[in-house]
Amino acid sequence: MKEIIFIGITILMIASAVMAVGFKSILYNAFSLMLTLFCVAVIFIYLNAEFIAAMEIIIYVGAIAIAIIFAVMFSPPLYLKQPYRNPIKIIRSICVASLVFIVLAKAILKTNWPTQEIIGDYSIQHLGHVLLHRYVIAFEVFSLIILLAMLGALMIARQRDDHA
Amino acid sequence: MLEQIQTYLLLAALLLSIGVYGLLERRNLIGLLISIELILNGASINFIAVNKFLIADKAIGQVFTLFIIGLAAAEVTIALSIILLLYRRMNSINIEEADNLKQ
Repeated sequence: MKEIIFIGITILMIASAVMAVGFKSILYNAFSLMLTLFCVAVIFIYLNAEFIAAMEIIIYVGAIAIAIIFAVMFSPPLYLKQPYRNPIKIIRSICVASLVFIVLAKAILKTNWPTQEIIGDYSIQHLGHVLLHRYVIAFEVFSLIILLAMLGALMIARQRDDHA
Repeated sequence: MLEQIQTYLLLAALLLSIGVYGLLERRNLIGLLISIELILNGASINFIAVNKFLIADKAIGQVFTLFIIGLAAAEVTIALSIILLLYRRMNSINIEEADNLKQ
């Protein structure tokens, strides 16, 4: 049963990822991205990381994808004629992307992965303890980064009074 | 198949290559942003898969992935404000029209 659902979620994820980069309409791409991120969260549940799955849905789908949908307002309207897509460019991009995938797949399948340790402490208590004891500096720097990102975004997009 | 690490790593590699294809092919700036999000998600799946199968302390991979997710959020913020500024200048978000530095 778990295998069947895993295969279904994998197929759905690959299909929506292809839709997220393939369609011409930018709104279809944004919604397909939301579906892909949901499927990635399900894969995280298969990998015993339930907290990360919840965080992925809250942060990615709930904030980032919605911000991207707001930014779709900048695109030209869909009833206008779309500019011409060069088929040579598409074939070139497919070749490069498949080259990347083939190299990675060969490396993954050839490696002799060491003995596997699946048993461990996946709980949130342990995660919180590690985050605030061992990686506390990274944690504090990360909150600074978020503050700087917000300030930088506001600074960049500010309306200047001296320009017309 | 679910107990092997190769399944999840191949899945992450597939997401990454689909994101690379989107990054190379799309002209719309929002399309590029979406492709970057796919690449980052591929890397996140990679981290969590290695965390389950190869690492003794099970919190380390999750910490890395939390940082990746948060940094993706910060990066989308800055990218969207740059897109806003570029739109004010060029009045379009087609990246092939942003060639002022070209000879």
